[in-house]
Amino acid sequence: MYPVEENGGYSVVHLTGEVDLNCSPEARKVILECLRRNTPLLIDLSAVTHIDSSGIASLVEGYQVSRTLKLDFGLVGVSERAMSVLRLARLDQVFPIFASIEERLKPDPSQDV
Amino acid sequence: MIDVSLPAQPGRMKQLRGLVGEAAGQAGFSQHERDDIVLAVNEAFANVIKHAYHFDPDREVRLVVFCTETALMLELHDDAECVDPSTVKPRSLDDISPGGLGVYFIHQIMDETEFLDCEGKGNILRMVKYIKEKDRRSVCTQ
Repeated sequence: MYPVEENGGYSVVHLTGEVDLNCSPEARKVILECLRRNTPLLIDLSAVTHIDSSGIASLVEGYQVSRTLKLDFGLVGVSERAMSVLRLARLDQVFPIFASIEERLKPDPSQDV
Repeated sequence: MIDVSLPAQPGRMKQLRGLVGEAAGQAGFSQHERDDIVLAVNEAFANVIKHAYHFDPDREVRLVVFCTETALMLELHDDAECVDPSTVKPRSLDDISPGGLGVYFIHQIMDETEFLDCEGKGNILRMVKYIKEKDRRSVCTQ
């Protein structure tokens, strides 16, 4: 249901549309399956038009599992509506958030020798 | 404005959101406020599905929406066992864990939230959102 691509060593999950109690079990499943493959994870929220607490719970669980597994995790391209809900939950200060997949994948200048 | 019964099924949440969004728009709320009100009622509906009906798809939830000159009133009626309102509390945001955010969202978004006295016949959750004076429309004063 939710497409997953491999990009720059990351699994990228594209959540789309309305992520509610009806769809969040699928979102959770896809997120946890990616982490089980032991790859760092980006979740693209650019096409999310509605997300409720069950969808947010899937993101929180994914973030916690990634930290346990010491895998990089981030939200990318967060839509205005999804960001509004993250702010309401004050999770915009908890999740690593990037403007786009490209921004997350670009080399970090501070790592240059 | 609205008095409709919906099956207590996750697949019907989209229909609920559509009804609530339309009513909030007619009442004069901005798109952002409308989205927030929709989220609050969505969370309340989800709580009935999960906690009151334990995902029994054969139960129903009645949505009642009406408007006064100053506020939009939204009620969810269920016929589950009476809830002790003191047990329905938002969790602390310092607790970063999956789940438990729904009640917090409802309280953050709505101006008033209360369980009406149901006299042992199910629950009525009333949520109230005040309409800013500049946004008030005649549809709510008729």
